[in-house]
Amino acid sequence: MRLGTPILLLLLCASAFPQTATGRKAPYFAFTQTNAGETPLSQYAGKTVLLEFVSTTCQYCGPALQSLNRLQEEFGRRGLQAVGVAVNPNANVLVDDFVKEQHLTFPFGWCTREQARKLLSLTPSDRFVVPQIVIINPTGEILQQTAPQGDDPLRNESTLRARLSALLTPAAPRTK
Amino acid sequence: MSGKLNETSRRLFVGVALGTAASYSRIKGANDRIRLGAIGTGGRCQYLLSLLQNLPGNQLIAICDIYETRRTQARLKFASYANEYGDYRKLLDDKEIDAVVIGTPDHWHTPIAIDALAANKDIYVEKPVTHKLEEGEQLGRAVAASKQVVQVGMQQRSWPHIAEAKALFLDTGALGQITFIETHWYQNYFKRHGHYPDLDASKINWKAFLGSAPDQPINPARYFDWRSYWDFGGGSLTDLFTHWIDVVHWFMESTLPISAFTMGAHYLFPDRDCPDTMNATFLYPGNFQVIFHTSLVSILEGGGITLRGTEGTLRVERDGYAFYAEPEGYGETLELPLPTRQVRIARNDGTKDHLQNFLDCVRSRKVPNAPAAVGINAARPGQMGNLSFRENRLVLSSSLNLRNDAERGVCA
Repeated sequence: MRLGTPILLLLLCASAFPQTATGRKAPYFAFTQTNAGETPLSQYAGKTVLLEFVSTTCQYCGPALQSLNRLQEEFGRRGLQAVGVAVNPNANVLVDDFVKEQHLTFPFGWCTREQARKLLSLTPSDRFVVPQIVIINPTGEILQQTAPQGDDPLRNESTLRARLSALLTPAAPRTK
Repeated sequence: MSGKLNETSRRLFVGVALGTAASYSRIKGANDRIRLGAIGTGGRCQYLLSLLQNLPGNQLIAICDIYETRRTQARLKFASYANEYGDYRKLLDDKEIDAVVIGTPDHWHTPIAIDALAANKDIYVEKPVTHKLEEGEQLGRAVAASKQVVQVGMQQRSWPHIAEAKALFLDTGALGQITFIETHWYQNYFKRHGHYPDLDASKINWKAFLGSAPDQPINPARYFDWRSYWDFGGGSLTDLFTHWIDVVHWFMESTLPISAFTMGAHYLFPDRDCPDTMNATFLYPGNFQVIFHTSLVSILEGGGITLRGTEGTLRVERDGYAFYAEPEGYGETLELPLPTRQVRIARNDGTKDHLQNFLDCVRSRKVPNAPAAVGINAARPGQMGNLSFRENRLVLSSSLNLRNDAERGVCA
């Protein structure tokens, strides 16, 4: 048997089981914000991060980010940190207006699709739609992410709310 | 820069190779043949059938055309045992058929696709998937309500070198800020103008050909050159530009221009509806503009697209792509600098890959490379451009109240 054959078989097996399984450690990831500059995701260690990759030019991403606004308001005291990242070309010059138009109340910046693919554990040939949603636990493990293409219940606000509600401990009652 | 590209490129090629091989392992019932019906078996559809003939796992079992001559011609060429139909509804009634290939003139694409969805058939439909702007919402609603696989003939989405260009230069931000995209398509129809095959009036159901079009006498020009008449097609903007604007949508993650303005003229073919010479401009949200030039004289340069960014220029053609990092010195010369990276391919048609992707998705029930939403979005700019030409005005998409339910809450 030629040397190349077992290597090819090994690669084929690896491909058949893409490393998008949940529970894996999130790789290093940073996005850029206009005012804050490069923002590593590790900055939010200790919180449950609800990360959404979007495109500022996608008609569905604005409403999806409005959901994040509501969920941040609802679960912020219980340790949720919503983060939005635009991956479309020219995002660096579009995000400021986009944040104002959408009245976003959580950190929002941009990165390249290639960077997003690394976090999502997709290969350069894998296609993915936006929005893509990722839930990362306080110790930096990816708990859940949307399917790269097609329908996914996690894109539904009520599904996300139920998932977060189960994940996050109830907030302590406010003291007078 | 080059080291980064090489590293990405290697990963990309490995990814493509593994993706193709792995897809077969995930296919359910990979050995089952997909039984196909073909509707509208003119030149383009017969080309699709010739490609399908060389792809494994499918069988053509039914053929439908309103012109008996072409229907029989297709049957004899591709499947002598296939059933012939003159009415596509009868073909859709055939429960043995899993999927249909729709290659009719444009004005029949959406009505047949909607009926095919209702008959639970998967669909490969030629572009433009819609003939009128309002059909996008109708088709989108039908797709959203069904579970069928729909692949639109935007084959650039399955062309490996175009996907590679996107991964290497758009997804990495290597082009910098992109503000200007030029598209063009030049074809010389002048030499063949007016030369049509014989049209046997006794063998054509002209009323069925007309469909939604106003009643009119049989006319070989309108039958064979239907793309040049508003009743059946939309000229270069919906026939050719639709391919490149789909690449723009894919690369720039956009779905709809803010506005369109077209200037055109009938310098060569005054007897046709659609202009033979045309410039169209489209403003997009996302801070960029797209222009389209077309003429039906002079084939030099054919069809192509050029994206210009602050860090470089990317040219994409059907036989390859070339990336030019921004040169240090300004030049006004006939000769271009050597590209930073150039890829040429031997086979300059991704249609076979696109059909293979469709067959794969029929088996796996996954989303194909060019689903209905992609096709609807790709048809709209050309339709806006035609509206601009016909009404001699700037067309704003905000005034058109366009919806696309086929996307189901995501952007491809």
